[in-house]
Amino acid sequence: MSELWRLTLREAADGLASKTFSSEELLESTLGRLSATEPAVHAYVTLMEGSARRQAAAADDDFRRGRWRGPLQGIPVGVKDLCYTEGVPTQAGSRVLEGFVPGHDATVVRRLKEGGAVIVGKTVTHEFAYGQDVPPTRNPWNTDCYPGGSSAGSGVSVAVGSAFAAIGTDTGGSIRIPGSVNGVVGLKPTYGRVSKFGVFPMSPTLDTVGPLARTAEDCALMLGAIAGFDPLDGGSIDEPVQDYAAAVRSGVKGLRLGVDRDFFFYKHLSDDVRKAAEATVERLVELGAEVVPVRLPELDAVAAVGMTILLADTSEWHHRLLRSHADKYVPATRLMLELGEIVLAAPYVHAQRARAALRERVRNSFSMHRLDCLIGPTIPQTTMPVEKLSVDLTGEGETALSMFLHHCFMGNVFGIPALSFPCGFSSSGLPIGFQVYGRPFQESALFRIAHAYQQVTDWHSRRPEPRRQEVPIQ
Amino acid sequence: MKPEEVNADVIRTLASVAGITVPEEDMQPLVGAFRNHLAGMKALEDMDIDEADPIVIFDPRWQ
Repeated sequence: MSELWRLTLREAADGLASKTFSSEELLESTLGRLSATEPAVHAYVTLMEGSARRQAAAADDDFRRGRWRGPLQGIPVGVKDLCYTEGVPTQAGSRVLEGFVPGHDATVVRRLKEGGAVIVGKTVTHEFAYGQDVPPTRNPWNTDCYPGGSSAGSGVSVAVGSAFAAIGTDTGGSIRIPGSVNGVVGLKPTYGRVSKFGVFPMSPTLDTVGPLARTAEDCALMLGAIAGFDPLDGGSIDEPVQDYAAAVRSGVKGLRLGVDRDFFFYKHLSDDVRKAAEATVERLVELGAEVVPVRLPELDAVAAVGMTILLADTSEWHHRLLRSHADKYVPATRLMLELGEIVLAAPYVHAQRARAALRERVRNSFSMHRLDCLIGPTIPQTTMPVEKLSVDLTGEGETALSMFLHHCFMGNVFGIPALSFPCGFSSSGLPIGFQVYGRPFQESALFRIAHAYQQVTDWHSRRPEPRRQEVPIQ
Repeated sequence: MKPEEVNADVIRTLASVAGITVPEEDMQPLVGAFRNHLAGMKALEDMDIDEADPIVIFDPRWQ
């Protein structure tokens, strides 16, 4: 098996463009890596080997004819199984959708295909992206551990090299969490930046679609291919798409980065995460960024606002299915849907009012401190053994889910972009992520920061070798 | 309603109004989850947010 799978997306694209190797060779290497790693990590729920081979052959034919569709031409990628794929089963990780085969592609899938990407398969998601069940996917750095979610398969496929990049979705951290715990880069774009048409929804105003990749530059290439206005998505925003890949090399000099230590470095941070995040802040200063201490007390209310909206919105979409297929949901998902059913209307509207007020205060803080970004660790801890994972929201105290939401929900509640990139490893060898929040539609600033950091560190270039062991599938 | 006042009867009533049947196994977890939801809302009620209108159409741009 060739080692082409080890390349970054940028390196692979350059190699294809220079005809150093073909897309078919790139795909063979990727499929070989997939065969070697899938028994241990279960990143994919559906393989699309036949169509992938045809897409790779078509990409090679385009290269021969001098036709260039973009930087994704001939690049093997994965797509979260929440996204419609024409003629290919799409089940959102749920028995409720058993046998569902969409008649059309999600816009994000269509844009990947138009850009000449080679879709390797559909990646595993938590049931309907709710993060309540344990998927069959395992963390490649330690296969006893949680792979993150809900874009679990997308994060793992990129980490192990069975895809050069993958599409995920993020309603409360579902791109950034698997990005963090698997040691890859994950971008939650600005709300409305990437179409969510043809993607199973949770909340129409919190949901976002975005890429995971091995480097910031690779993420920028992916975003450039999938971003843009879509009249089919009621939440799509008609804003110009920047040349993100060109912007990554602009450096961080002059950027002002806010750090709210009370919020992002709070008591639940593990020592390893604290140490790695502090070192990252120092490194960004060395690179020329200006770090500004800030305190945004309104962030403390974000999780309550977000959960109220998320619960009611998600249950609204599942209204009929819960009544007709309740027995087919996993119990924990069903419980959350029941909870959303009994959230009253007035508190829901109150949460939307609080959301507007908090967003305005955060905007004012950005203006007052002349901030380009907010920075901090992506999540307070590294991943944990699956049996210790607690997403239970029924009791008191912090659970993994409540800690994830604490750090990640503001991106969705305020609709602002957020990027997670690797910033170190724990003493037990598990990846740690660092998160950057930006102003709306300023994804380029996030890429600049992560790319500058990745030019002076090598955390992102380390690849896991998952142990080959059979993981029981639920 | 105060969070600590939520019990299985409250959940049954709300579920009945919503038109769903809650399995008995879900009842106690729902009591806890609904209490947490109310506790979160209580924190929001204490905030001064009268200056804002509720978001009905979401546009992330900072106008």
